[in-house]
Amino acid sequence: MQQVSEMDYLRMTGRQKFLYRFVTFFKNFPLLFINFFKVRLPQWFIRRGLKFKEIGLTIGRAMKYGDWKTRTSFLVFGFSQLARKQWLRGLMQLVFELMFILYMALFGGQYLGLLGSLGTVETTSGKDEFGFEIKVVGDNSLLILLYGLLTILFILVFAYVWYKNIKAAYASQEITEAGLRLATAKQDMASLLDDQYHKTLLGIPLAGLTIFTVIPIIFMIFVAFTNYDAAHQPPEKLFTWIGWDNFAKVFGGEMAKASKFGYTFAMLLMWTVIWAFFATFSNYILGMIVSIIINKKGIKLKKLWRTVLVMTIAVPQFVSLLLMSQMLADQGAINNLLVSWGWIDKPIRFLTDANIAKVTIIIVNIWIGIPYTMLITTGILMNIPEDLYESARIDGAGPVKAFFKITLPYMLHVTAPYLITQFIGNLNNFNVIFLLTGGNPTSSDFAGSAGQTDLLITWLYKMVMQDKAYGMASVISIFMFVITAVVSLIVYNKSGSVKNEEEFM
Amino acid sequence: MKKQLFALLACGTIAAGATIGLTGCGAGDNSITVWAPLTQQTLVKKLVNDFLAENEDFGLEVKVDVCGEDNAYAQVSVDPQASADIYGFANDQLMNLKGCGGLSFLSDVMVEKIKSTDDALAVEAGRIGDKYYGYPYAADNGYFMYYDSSVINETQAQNIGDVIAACKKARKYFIMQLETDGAWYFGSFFYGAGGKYDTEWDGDELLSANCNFDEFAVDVNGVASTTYTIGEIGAQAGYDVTHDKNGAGFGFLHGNDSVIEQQLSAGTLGAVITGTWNAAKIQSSLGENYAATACPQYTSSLDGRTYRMAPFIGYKMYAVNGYTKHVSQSHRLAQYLASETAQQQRFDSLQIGPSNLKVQQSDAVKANVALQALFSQKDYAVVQGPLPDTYWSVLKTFSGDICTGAINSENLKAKLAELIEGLEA
Amino acid sequence: MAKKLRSKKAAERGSNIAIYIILTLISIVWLFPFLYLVIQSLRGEPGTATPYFWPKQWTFDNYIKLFTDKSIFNFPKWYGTTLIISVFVTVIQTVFVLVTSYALSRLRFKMRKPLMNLMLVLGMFPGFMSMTAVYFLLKLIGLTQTFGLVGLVLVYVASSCMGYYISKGFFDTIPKSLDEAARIDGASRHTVFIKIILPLAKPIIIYTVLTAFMAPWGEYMFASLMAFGDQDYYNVAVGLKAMLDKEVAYLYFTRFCAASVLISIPITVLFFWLQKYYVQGVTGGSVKG
Repeated sequence: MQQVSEMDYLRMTGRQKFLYRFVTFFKNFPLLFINFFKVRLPQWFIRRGLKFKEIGLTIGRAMKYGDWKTRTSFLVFGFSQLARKQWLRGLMQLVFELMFILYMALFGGQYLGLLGSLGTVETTSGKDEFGFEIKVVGDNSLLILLYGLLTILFILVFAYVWYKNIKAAYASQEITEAGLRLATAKQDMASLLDDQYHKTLLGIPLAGLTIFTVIPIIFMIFVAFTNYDAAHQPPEKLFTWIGWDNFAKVFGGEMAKASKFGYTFAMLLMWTVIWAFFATFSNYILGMIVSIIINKKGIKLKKLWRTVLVMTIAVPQFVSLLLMSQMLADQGAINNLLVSWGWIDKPIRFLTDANIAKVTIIIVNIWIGIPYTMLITTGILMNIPEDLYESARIDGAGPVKAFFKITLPYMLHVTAPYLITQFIGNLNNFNVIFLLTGGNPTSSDFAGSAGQTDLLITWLYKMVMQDKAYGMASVISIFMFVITAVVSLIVYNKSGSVKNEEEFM
Repeated sequence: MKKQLFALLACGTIAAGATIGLTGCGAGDNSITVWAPLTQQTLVKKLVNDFLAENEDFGLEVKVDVCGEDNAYAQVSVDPQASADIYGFANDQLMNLKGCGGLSFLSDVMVEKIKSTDDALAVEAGRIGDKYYGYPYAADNGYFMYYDSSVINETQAQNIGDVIAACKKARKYFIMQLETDGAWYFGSFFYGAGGKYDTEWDGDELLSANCNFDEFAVDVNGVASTTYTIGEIGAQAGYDVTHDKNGAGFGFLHGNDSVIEQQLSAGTLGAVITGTWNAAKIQSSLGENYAATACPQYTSSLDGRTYRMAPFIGYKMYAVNGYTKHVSQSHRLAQYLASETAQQQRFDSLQIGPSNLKVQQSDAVKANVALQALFSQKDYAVVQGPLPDTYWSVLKTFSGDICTGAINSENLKAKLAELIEGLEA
Repeated sequence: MAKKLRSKKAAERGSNIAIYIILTLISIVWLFPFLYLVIQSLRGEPGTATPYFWPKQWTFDNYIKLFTDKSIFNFPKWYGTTLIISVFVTVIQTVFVLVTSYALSRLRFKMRKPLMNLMLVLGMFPGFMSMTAVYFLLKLIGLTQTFGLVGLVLVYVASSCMGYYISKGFFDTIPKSLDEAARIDGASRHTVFIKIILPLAKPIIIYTVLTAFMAPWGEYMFASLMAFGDQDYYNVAVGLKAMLDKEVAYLYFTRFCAASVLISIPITVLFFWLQKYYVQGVTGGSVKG
């Protein structure tokens, strides 16, 4: 489609407008990528460069003009502040330094040196006095990698605190020299509840996030470059760096062909996207229709209908899905019922035939999802001004037309973020597939025990839990991560809720 | 300031934790842990108490926790060093467990001891190279055929064709699990016709695997076509059966434990190939018509020759964790938990088939129809030894493909080649 | 004219009847699995599946035995454990989420935008991939095995601030003029948060509480890892799954169903009680349900 002038755009019908926006959105997608690499990324590097220059200058200045108190701060954290009676700040920095030294000496130091090789001493076995096997435990590659990364992170934080400490030391010197009063501990505390309130609020949550999410993710990214698998399980065996070999198995020509991983990845990625699309929109449209029906004037017992639907949310998913898979089995309740009613001769292979299973899964997902959609859309639907419908009715529009002309556009506008969250959630929807089909039926065309209804995420689960192919699984998860992350970042930041956050009210 | 505060918190937690963690390692040094399945908790706790009463010099506390024998590898491999000192496992996980360091080999004295008391196959099932890693205590991890003696007589029960015919006549089903989850049962057709799957190991590393399954399915003019036979059975499986009003559908039915239960309670179970875990319900449902025998023979539709299904047989055994801090004590206790007294009690309370020769010869075990059927296959059954991980995924896929019709006489050869390639990889 | 009106009314009634039929059908389809669960839990005869729908014997034994027969499955203990976990998770997670979303919505600081993007993206990394790493990090601070439950709660809440999105949307809709008025009167940001914003945020607090409370009841993966074989540390999901092992499923399936019904009760009750707030919370307060 070509670029359309404003006049032409205004002349389009609703459907054309939508199509136009739809197409341009996807046409702009590559542009966004190019823009990112050509403009945003270099800019980012330039900004970083400037930042480092500034850091260097600050340190240099403190070195050159600092008095003995400031200069001692280079070695003893917070000394300048302590000497100038800013007890709280000084003490905190000093404690941090001591903790760091303690950590490195007692724990972290030993892992740093081993990071390059991930350990050299193998676990060996010998016999005890009675002839039973005893192990002499060697290096543990997993712990070396994990705790090594932890230590590196700690060092980076240490460097940052060191810089901040020098900056603050010099600043307090300047303030005293200018004859001004330094902030007291009380003032510091007060500012933590006011100007600096975000630090108070976010400190603990972000610490948790860093330790239990960021570090494990970095760890898994590094694992992608190792041969950590069933044959190299620490502490029994060492694993080590193997460069890009795992990536080559998925993406690199010959090796990928031989290992089938590339093909499997492509096929499962396709099904994952198809699944996420249908799962999201079927739930969305149908859920909305259900809630419109319930909302209709003159329909009684509104609460009851809603309650019935919502009850399904209360049963844990692993229970309801387990029952579903039992009922949908080849000789399960539903087939038995259909056969005994004489509707079918042979059981329908709801979960065992790849193509039927894919449809079944989407339908079961509708069963799960509609209550949520209904809950969320009910209120918003009531907010649509009634006169919109009234004027549509006067124009002779039926309920179907009114739905597509008024309801859907309005809802899409308001619930866009919800839809996006749902779509991304469905890309990683583990429960439905895992509990219904477990990814089965399997296929000989696939590698790594993948089945035909496996999503990338359930495939990953099999690779990790059954096959212990950590290296390969990490490669796949990195790519999944990159795809979902990039798509969602672009979409989120383009969507209204982020742009309009300042404008509201 | 925020970053500092946050860094302080983060590092504080780690540093404090590390200190606790490091000092915490010393705790529990005076105790060992045993993992046993949920159903055996009471029994194992009693056995442990008996053992402690007999051995007052043991000097360690013993804690009994839960882990299924089929789940041992999944649990131990997470963190062998924190896993139980003694745990039960099914012998097909032997290689995997060795691979993650979860095994400690037995002393020669112990090996001699169990060799003298237990089934030779069971002892062998715990061997890698010249080392033995397990104290066997159960020999019932296999499958055979249960049947309704009012539907099928003893002679008919010897041939799968006769079994299906008799079931059809009586409007009953012969159930066997094929398809994706049936890889365990499915292999018996290959092995029965003489198929071999040989593996060579160096320690726990698979050096080479050799498989000749493809020799049993060449073409119409060739030798036996085991695969084709299975294909025929598979084609019937579950698709043109169930409750056909004219009774035409009765006969073969593919299905899992749920299906077995359904047919039992509907009174339409004629025969079923499954294991001892289903014995109680089948016995209570069939009553005095309850009977069991070895897996039947089958006639290849192509060469007309008859083969007997050669089922997998597996054992359960206690292992001592390679990372235990109390090696010799753990071995002592493990040996006791698998001893004659323990196996006798295990059979008495839970009907678990013993691997101990004396217990096998006891009258109670001899009167157990299911176990006798299982033991009768000993001479030709295939011990489910060390199998590489790929074995299951490849065979699962193949048996699934055969039953869904993805494999037919045209692409059979190519698919078999793929199967072999997968198995030998 | 009157005739026309009547025919319109008739059409209206016709379509309403059609809608009632549809709604009844929908209700049947949606209730069926739940009813099936309840009926199975009242079945007297054992087995995982029966070829018939209505039980031959009706009984409450399955429920009673859950509490009396604790020889193999200690259901009351699991229930209690899960409840405790849930309560701790609810309290901590609610605080984390509210605090994070308030900070991101109302406070302006340098790293705000990148932080929001980062937290958004981190949640997309498959959780079980990092399970090994998380386990060994917990082991480092001594929160596995003996202190496994503490570790479990920590894992559940540690990254909960990533779920800031919905409640931030809610805070965004509270007029800023309220804060500004209070700030002019000399209130600190802390006071504004506690005294002004929180009282207005009831729907989102309840929404957060609900979602936080529900999660641990169905969580299996981490719970089974942290229990590490010790039955005392099982949560209901881990325990229930053990009831379906092939050796015991025949005898315990009906009891499994009974247990599942019991699990859904607290959640159902909470949900109905707080449904209104849930909807208000998730739709960003723009709806007066």
